[in-house]
Amino acid sequence: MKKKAYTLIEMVVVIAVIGLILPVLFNIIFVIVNQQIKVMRLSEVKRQGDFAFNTIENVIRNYGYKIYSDSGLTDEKCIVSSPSYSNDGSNFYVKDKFISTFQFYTTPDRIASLGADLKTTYLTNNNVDVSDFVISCQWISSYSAPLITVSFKVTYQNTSGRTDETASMTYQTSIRPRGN
Amino acid sequence: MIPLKLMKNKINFLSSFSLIEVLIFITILSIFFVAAASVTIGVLRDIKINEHKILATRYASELIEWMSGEKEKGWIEFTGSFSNGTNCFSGLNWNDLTTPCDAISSTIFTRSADLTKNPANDQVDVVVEVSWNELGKDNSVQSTRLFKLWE
Repeated sequence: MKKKAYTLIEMVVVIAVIGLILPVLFNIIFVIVNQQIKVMRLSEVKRQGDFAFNTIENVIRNYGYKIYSDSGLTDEKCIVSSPSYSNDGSNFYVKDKFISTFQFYTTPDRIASLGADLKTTYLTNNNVDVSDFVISCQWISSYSAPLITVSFKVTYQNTSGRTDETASMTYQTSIRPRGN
Repeated sequence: MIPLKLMKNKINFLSSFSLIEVLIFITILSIFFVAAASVTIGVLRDIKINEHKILATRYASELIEWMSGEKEKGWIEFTGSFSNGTNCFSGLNWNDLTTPCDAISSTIFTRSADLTKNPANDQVDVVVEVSWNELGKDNSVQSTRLFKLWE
């Protein structure tokens, strides 16, 4: 009976081997999961940014016509008398060829659009932060619509403060509305 | 009655591992560690390549978006800014298009675009290629766009 039991030295050896293997295994799993999370953050930033960017570009290109700095559509911008105008979106109203207006702005970390039906639609979710949102326009000629430039930065929300856990992408383009 | 010497030998034999047991154990342990290491390296390399592919795709799209903006500013200025062939775009400007390409600032990526104006000068075919070296292997991502005067 006594010989069937494990000796102390056998137990110590087994525990030592397990103690050697387990940290290695956990370390491998930790590194892989960490890298996967990093890729997930990056793809989320790209997905959100691409969607917001494509939506803004398509809506302005297809429906944009004139630019105003007020919702009452009394102060037109990017015309001969006021050739350039830049804003964070809060006072940048785009009128289509009918009387409807739409607007893109930040609230403050998400891009929102406000349509003619006064419904706010968010183009990005809470997983990412949007910063440096600037929308500007420039008068080119009396025979064409103003050139509208949109730029913003999308960053993954980083609660830990570690820079290696941050993923961000910058978007910028200029659009000539075809709405007229 | 077992003689004392024989008993000691028997106890010694039972309480120790044989050479072959130790060798088998070390072999199995080595195989495990080598397999785990190779799997880990493979997985990490694939994850890293995926990460770089996402970034490279973004840099390619960034150039096309910028060119789209340049085209919107004026077709004549746009088509006059470059000549047919491969041009480098380490930054988003027309200043330094000469090859070989410098890396995009603070990254491992080089970005070039093959620009072709058609003879009537009302279309520009753009093929953007972002390339990078990953553990001695060259990788690249391509993105294409056709710019037209009347669109």
